Amino acid sequence: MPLPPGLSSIEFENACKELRALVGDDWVMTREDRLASYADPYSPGLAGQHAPSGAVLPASVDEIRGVLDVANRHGLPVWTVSLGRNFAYGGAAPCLGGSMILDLKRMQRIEVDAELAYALVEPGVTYLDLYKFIQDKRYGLWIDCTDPGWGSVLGNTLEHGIGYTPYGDHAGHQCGMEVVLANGEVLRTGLGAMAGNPAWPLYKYAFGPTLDGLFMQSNLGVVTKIGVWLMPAPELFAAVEIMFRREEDIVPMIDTLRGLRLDGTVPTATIANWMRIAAGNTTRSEWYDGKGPMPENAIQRLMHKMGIGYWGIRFGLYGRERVVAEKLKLVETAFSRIDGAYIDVAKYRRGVKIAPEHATLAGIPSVDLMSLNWLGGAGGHIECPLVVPMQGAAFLELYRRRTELFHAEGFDNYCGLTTTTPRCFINTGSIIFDRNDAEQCERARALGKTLIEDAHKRRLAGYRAHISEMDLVAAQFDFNAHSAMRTYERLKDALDPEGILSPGKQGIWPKALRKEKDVEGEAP
Amino acid sequence: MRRRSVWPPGSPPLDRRELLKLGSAAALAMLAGARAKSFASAAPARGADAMLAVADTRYSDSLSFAYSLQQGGAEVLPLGSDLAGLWFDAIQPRLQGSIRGLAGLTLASDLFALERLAESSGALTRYVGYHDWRCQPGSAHRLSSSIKLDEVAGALAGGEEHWAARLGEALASAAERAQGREERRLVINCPPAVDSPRFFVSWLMTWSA
Repeated sequence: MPLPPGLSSIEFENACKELRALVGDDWVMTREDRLASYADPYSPGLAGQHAPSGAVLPASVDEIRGVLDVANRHGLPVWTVSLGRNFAYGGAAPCLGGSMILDLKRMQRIEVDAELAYALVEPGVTYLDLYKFIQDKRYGLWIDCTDPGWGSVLGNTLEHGIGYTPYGDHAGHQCGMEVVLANGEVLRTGLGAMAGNPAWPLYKYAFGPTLDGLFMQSNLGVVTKIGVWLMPAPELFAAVEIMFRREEDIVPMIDTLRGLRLDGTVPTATIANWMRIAAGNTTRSEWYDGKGPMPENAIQRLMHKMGIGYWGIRFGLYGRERVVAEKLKLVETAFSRIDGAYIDVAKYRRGVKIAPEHATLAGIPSVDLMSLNWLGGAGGHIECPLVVPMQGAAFLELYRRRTELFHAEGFDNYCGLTTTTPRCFINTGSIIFDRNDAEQCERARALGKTLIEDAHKRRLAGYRAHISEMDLVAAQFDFNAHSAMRTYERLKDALDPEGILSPGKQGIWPKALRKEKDVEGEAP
Repeated sequence: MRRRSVWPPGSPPLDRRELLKLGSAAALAMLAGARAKSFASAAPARGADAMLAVADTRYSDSLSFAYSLQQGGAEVLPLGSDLAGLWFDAIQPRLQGSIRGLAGLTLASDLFALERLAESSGALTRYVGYHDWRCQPGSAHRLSSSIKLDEVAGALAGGEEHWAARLGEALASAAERAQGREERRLVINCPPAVDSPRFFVSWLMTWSA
């Protein structure tokens, strides 16, 4: 395994010896076979570049403080992961090769306040764990979960992850945070800054600046606990799915949805194109066995035989029975103006078993990776998700451009749009490929870079990126000669002067590893 | 607006994975159709009594594979659309008993997910075979294993339309014979079933006693 940059093998071994004394021999790993799970499983070609030197697994805040003390004294860079299941963005692999993984999976405490409907969770708690905890206690609360549900609640929230219920904006429904700073100091944000304040997980703001955002998608501290709001189980949940026949239907679809999102009729909603719908259920070879993107006639045949539209939209309606009924009428009236639209609604009263196909809309976590089999082989995916305004015509133009780019590299365009906030979408552009096929991996990576660069030409940006693309995306935020990045760097230097915490995360590097960057940028 | 039952994102109109929640042997055999039935007279897989086999009930080759292991004593579990449920509710509890192996002929994502769910249980993937019919007239097979591969390769080469069942049988009997890491590539002509996704992964995970 690689050594941490700047450390000799003796220095590294000495650091590990101290770490073992802190957390126990079993919880410091440096052997290659024990580090396999920290590799990026979807980018085999990049494994060497992003290999860790080892992993340390503390079980408590005190142990984390001890680990950071060792790291500061030895100049040991640590890459923090909650569980490292964010596979499309690099999994547990570090930006900086030779970093030691600071794996927080042993911290698994859950506390739930059923009356005020919130949970406090540590980094090792998965959506599956939280769901089971609440079910076992019969609290009558729903969680919101990402898909697949094996990831960390805390990790996904810090990465601005999304789900599918009205609580789908995970960072938006986080409240209260505990952080260990690089110097070992423990900080609580918001009302948690007052010891014993009972409203810590209830109200996001406090007296003075709001710090929580500084520790999301960042490397300024190690987050050890967060509060997440939970949804009371609704009296009625209606799963709504509407199909639209033509590619150009996306324009009225989005414009109709915007009105329903802004006036609060529809909460979080997801739009999928034909490929996303098909890949969730079948493989490409079942429809077409040629190389390159699927031709139009094969797509039409697939849509016809599967009985799907070019686009589908799905969302849940939740609440009192009469309220849901009214909302449903509004939805039907609004979308029926689009020629050929057809709707399917499944209704569930509180306590009724929810069908697997509607599970994520009800915050029931599962693990289903079917869409990765689209091309066959050992499927993997990388994501280049853009934040796009909720405007139909502009999106159709973007979609057609991105389809051209997918096709130019020989891939079908897998397109999804999720709106967890009412004015924009996260446009997932999943590149699905066979990770056992080196040539296909290379094309997938090239396409990822092209999608990011093309988006920037339109002044659109990704809200997340793979570890190998973090610098590229960060450099695109160029207003006033990258003043945002210069501010992040000043904060980094002040809060983590030795530069030990997750170097390179979101393009933020410690002083010693900072590269000269292009200072051109849009002036204010 | 027209109302109809659609094939929504995330589920087919007839989700065959969901059809069989209980996974009884009779139901599996029924779904496997002619392929599984025609194999029923073949020699049962030896050494499968401490094994679990998972079956993707959408594909008859996957069912044939699982059925052959069932003949040798393995318990068959149908893959649902939620692998976490399968792992936590069905597989993990059985590891407290005598179960020592888990095998399947599935899509690659199922192996990927189960390997990660099984990570903390000490599971070791001892054999993986990729079986590929895409964009070619015959079939290509790439096997990688720490068990002896002669029997497995032989089963594929001679299996013809029963390749999946023969493969299951061979894997069960080869599972006990460990050796160093071995890789093998075969280009043959195993005919895929009509419902084949044209790419499968066969695999075997084991747990030490």
